[in-house]
Amino acid sequence: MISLAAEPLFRLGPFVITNGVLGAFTITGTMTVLALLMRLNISLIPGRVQAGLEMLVNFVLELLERSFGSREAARTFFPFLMTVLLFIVVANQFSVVPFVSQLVAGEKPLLRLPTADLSQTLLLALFVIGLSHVLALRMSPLKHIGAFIKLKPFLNIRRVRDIPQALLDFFLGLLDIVGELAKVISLACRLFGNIFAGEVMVAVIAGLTTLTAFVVPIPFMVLSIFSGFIQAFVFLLLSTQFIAGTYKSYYVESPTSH
Amino acid sequence: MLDLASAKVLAAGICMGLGAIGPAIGEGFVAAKAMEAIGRNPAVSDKILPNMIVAMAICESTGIYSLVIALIILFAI
Repeated sequence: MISLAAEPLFRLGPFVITNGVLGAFTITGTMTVLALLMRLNISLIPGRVQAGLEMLVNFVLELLERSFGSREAARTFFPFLMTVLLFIVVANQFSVVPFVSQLVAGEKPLLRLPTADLSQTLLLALFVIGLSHVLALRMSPLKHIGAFIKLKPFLNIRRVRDIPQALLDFFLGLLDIVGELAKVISLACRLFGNIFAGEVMVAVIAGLTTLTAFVVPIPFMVLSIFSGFIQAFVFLLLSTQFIAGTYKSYYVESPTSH
Repeated sequence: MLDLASAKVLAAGICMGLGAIGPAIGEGFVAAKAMEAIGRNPAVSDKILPNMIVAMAICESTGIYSLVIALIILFAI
């Protein structure tokens, strides 16, 4: 049976370890080991894997450079965004790895796709949006708060006719706060919905009848693999846009602090 | 009078079915315009393709909301 929430497996002190968290730990551990192995074998004349990874790094760096406007800023944010991209790419394809979905602890599956767990996609989205706000608050706190709680139009009131306009501006500013919350929810739900829907689709088709259990799910699996890559890319692009948007709009005021 | 279980299944089906209409039309528009642009100027297809995918993903988000709501109706309530 498919469950919407990740199932808790055991407790580690005050923390409940769910199968989604265990999946995330597995992916992080594996990727760290692979990265260290890659580092050992790194050479000036790249091998096939190294060349591929260098191409990916270059592609992302150029993309960030276009969004942030300068190479220096792109390099500042590159480690975080690249980590997010790599984690999501690997996490989305985690169920394709043989035997991963067969491992069970009692009744529950032992590992679950971290991106098919709403708590973890919500965490990623909150981190991205939070980073953009912390950045903006560090660069110019008053201007950033003023963009949401708009008191400035009230100071510009010259005639009675200006009052409705000022009130309207104020409420639009309050609506922008709701907009920021909606950004978090849409960023998290988009990734979660796509990946979880892919999982459910394959499970439903495979469990329909005995006839459809073997060859029929393959097109749906291909579709979910494809959408996994697309969604990882989309998450990277959108988080780049959110961070670069605040970065660019406040960077001019205080070029020393970044 | 429906009982709760059948009402839930019905609600999830209606939610997903209606929610899929809008994003499908929207994504069709995005793809059509992108193809048109590529057909007019094939050299810029590298630049159009990522933008098209992002626009499609944003169009898709309303469909994803209805999917999430359908899933909540089915599994969480």
